[in-house]
Amino acid sequence: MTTLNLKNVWKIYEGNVLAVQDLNIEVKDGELFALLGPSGCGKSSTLRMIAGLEKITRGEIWFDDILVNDLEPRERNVAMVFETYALYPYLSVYENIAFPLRIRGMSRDEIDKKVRWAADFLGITDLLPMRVRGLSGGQMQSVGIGRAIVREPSVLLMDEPISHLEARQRARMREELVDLHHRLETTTIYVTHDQVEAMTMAHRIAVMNLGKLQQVGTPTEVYERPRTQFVGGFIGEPPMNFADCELVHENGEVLAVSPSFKVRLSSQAAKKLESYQGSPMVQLGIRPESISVSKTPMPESIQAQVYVLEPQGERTLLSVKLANGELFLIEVAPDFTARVDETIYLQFREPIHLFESQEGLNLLY
Amino acid sequence: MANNLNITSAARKQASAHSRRLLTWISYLLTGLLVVIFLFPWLWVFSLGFKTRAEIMSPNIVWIWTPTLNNFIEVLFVKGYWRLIINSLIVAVSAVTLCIVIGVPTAYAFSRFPIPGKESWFYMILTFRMAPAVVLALPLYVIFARIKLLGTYGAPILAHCTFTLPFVIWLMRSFFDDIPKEIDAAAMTDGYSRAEAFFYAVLPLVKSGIVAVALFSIIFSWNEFLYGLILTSDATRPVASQIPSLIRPHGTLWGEVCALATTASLPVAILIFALQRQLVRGLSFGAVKG
Repeated sequence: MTTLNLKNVWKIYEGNVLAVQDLNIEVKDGELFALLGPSGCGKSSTLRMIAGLEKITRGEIWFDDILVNDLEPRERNVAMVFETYALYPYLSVYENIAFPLRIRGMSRDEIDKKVRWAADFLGITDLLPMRVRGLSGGQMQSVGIGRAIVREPSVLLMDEPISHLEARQRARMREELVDLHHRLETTTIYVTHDQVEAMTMAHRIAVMNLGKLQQVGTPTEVYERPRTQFVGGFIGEPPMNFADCELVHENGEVLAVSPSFKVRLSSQAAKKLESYQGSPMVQLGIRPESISVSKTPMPESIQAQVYVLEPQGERTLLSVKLANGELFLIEVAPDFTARVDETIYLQFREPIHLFESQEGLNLLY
Repeated sequence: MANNLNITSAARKQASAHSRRLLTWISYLLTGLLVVIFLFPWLWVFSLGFKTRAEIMSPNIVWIWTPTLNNFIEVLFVKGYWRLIINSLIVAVSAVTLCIVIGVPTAYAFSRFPIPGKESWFYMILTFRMAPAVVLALPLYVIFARIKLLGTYGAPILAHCTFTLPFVIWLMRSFFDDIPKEIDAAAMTDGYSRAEAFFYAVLPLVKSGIVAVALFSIIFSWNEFLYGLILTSDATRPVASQIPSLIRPHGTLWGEVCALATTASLPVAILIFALQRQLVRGLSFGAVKG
């Protein structure tokens, strides 16, 4: 049971490569915390620094009230689960799970008890005598998790643990990992590039990009109130639509105007924009499910041409071309039909997001 | 029409089976040819060792003869050359042990640590191996003479390291590169220090690689001629370098040359047969990956 604290952590690799910049994160005791971002965003470096496999360039990492900066991995009582499983191929499943206990010099009986507990916990008891090499990916990862939990670590680190599995197995393992965490209640940090994994599993998510922390929040928070344009675009599938706009004040109201459309912003939005002094050129962001479609013109509706229609079973994705050539994705009901190039009419509903063009900060956050 | 199609597809199937069989035969033929090319000189040497001088020198090849052990007895025991085989063993085993002990951790460091200018260092080590032995012979002679190593076992042992050590580092690095770094990380979070992770988690994975590399190094050292000849004394000379001493002013003692060559080949041959499986596994290393 450990609270984890990263304070102003930097990682600069040789040749001045900035991997992690001024990272501040607090992971609460017993939390399942996801580090999410595209490859090269610094999430794995962060995890390796927490594990002690990587020296931190600047800053402090605290496990409860212990500064662990200079502690070896083995002195931190962390356990790690790897994308490539990293099992010891010359050992049996049993010996793989027993490995960390043997290093600690536990008695044979104690090891046996713990290994059987972990195997039972994960439902892999019948794999124990087998060789690692013949196992499926999912089984190997279960062994990897068994090896991690068997010594009851204070922090469990998972580095893309299910990215190597095939889609259906991945969905199953997602549930199993959530269930596992629920029963263990170990502080867990979960690194992934897959926003679906982070959204469905984590209590809170830290979104990173290019070594910088973008936002920390619950899945709902990062989805509904993205702090930056990157978060808005990275989270959500299909992704958020963006268009260049100019903010125009007109009769006490604020409009977002682009060559393709003119959108009246809500009064709350107008209020938040009162203090905004920056450039009026902004990015408007709107999620595919926040756009209504009609075949007849509506008041203040936006004209568009049907580009592609992708039926996906439970929903249909409609790609349309706006007057200025921007492509927008819209989620419509599965029974929606339209011809290619047919003219249709769109209405933007709240929430509408506005991102300033300098750092992509959400102006309505 | 459909019938027609069936016929052509059947014919095609037959043709492909035919060409596959042809390919198999060609590969057998080529393999056989290689075996003959490599084995023939060795068998020739082997057979000459068991012939008398008259049989060897006969203008017609003597195919059937009564084998004699006289050449072996003469060269090994009367001339006392069996000691040279011990010399070879001492030199080869020491050189290779030294190279493995230094080279394997070096290769691991090259594989894992962010050493400044790493690749340049690595290629520099490789170029050491590319230098012809003669280039180093003279400076080594002078250096070893100065530090009083000349004529001792130390001279050929160190000299052989100039080519086996780069070889060990170079090959072992690629073995380590094939082992996922996560294995080290797992072992370290599981409770090992960096050094323990190397010894107990990573080394077992490259075991067959080490055997293969060591075996090749032993062969290099065993067969080395030049350093063995000029850096040693009569008492410490390895067998390969001493064979020319059987070329005498009144003629070459071919029977003894061949007997000695046969005897000298035996230890290495036995070693390779004994470690054959490890060797093959080491050479097809990709299969070991987790």
